[in-house]
Amino acid sequence: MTAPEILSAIQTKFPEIKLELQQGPAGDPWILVTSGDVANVIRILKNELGLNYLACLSGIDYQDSLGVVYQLRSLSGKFEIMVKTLAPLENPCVPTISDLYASANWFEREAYDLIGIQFQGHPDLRRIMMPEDWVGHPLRKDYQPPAEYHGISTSRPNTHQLLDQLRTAQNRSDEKSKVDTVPHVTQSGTVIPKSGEGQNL
Amino acid sequence: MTKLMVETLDTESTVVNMGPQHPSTHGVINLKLHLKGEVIEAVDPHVGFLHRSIEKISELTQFTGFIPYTDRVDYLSAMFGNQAWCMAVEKLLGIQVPRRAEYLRVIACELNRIINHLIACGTMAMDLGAFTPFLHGIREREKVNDIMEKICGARLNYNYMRFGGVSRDFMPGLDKEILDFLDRFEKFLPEFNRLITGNEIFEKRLIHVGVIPPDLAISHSLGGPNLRASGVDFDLRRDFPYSAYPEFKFKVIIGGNYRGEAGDSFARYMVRIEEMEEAAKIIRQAIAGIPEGAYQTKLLRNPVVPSGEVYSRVESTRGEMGFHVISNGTDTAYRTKIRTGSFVAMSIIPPIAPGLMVADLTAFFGSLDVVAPEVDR
Repeated sequence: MTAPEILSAIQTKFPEIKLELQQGPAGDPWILVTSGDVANVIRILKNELGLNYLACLSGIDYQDSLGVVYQLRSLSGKFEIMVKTLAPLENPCVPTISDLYASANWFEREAYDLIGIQFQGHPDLRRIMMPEDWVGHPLRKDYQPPAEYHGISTSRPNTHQLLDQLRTAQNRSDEKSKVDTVPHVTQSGTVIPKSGEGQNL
Repeated sequence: MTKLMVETLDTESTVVNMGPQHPSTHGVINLKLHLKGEVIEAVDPHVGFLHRSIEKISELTQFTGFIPYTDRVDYLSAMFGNQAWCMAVEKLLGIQVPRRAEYLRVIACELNRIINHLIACGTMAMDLGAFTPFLHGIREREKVNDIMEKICGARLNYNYMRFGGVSRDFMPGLDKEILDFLDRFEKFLPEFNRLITGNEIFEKRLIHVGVIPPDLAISHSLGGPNLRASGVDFDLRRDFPYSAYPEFKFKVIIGGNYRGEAGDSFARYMVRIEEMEEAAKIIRQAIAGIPEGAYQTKLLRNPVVPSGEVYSRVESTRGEMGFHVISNGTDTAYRTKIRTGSFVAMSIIPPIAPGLMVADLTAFFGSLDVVAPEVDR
């Protein structure tokens, strides 16, 4: 079954559900469903059309809204379909399908963790990739990573800048001691003190 | 007297952390075990220790520059990451891959399948205490690593495929070398089976342990050997044909024909053993029928990809590897979601593990062939 055939198969049986077939300039077509209907539509696809395998579930930040894309497949019928739903940015609620497909449990946890979609009715909606006390959803387009996490810096120190600072401090103290002790700074920011004789940088 | 004592002896439920650093978790994975004595009551797998934000990197790197990162998703079968990513972008670009390149891809992928399953079967035996089979597997893998080095210049992270083909053609005489390896390998496999597969202790540790019923396997979206061992006759290479696979004859191995039952740990092991034979057959057919012609379509180094969404999937060694790629008409992906076989395989542990002994969990976990970096990406 192709995407238009699947669409008309649902429409003839359930004309009250609003569906739309969309496709970009390239790539695969998808069926767009409102977030209120998506669990219903997927239940129909599973029970009536035999799409018994959830291949993938992705959460996407489209900037004007958040999206959930389901890749459904019929193992025996050898056809598949992409179903998409959109949720508003302020209150991104999408009904869970973890009662239909057990694998959706973890997929939805990942979409919640990284994109921040709230799956209504999910039995165990907690973070899966990030630590449980992490703030924010890292794959959002407007995400700003925190400067540090429990005292661990999330960015690498600028080695050149650090070395310049050390040199300036060194030059001041060298005025008195005249001993060259410019330390070596590794890429990860570790300072290895050096006390060579007669080495001038 | 002692029997009575055991019956009345009540133990408290305890929580034991298996991992993150544990030799049999094949990477950094934490299994929180709720134990009653030595019997598992519940398991809560904690993943994410190896989350390297590869999906985020894809939004910052150009399409071409992301190819080496796809190697790192599953470092034991890097070719499949390459292939799924290249297929996704090729579909968006609307370009055709030359037939010779498809054959080269199939040969590289099936070689990768052999060495991955060698590691999978070897480490599984190692988890159960048999160290020697792993070394035998590694020895054979070394031969393929040498071949891989001649195919693409790398031994582990191949970075072999390009949009519209592969990075380089076979060097002269390489097909002969691959055939020599296959001759050797087909003799090695019975030797490996004599060494461990027919071993009574090994079989007893695996048979009827961690049985995954077919409906649960489908509901949990398992893929590859884990799905087929449960008796589900499904293979992306046959049912959703891609690349040059329709041109080859091969058998889809399903569980249920071995000692024990379909879906137990031994069936998963045996499916992998037999898949190696099938992979060898595919390589032989591919080398015999490899067409002449170009190995690459000439493209811009950083192509601008038309906007659209695509989901491309390949039959990787750990089940389906899928890339859901969204392009917004630039040379960088807008969003990439990587679906991996290990991630879904981890989610099968909580429903199956209760009732198993801790030692059997190791066998069950080993039979799922989970690679931690692929879980977390």
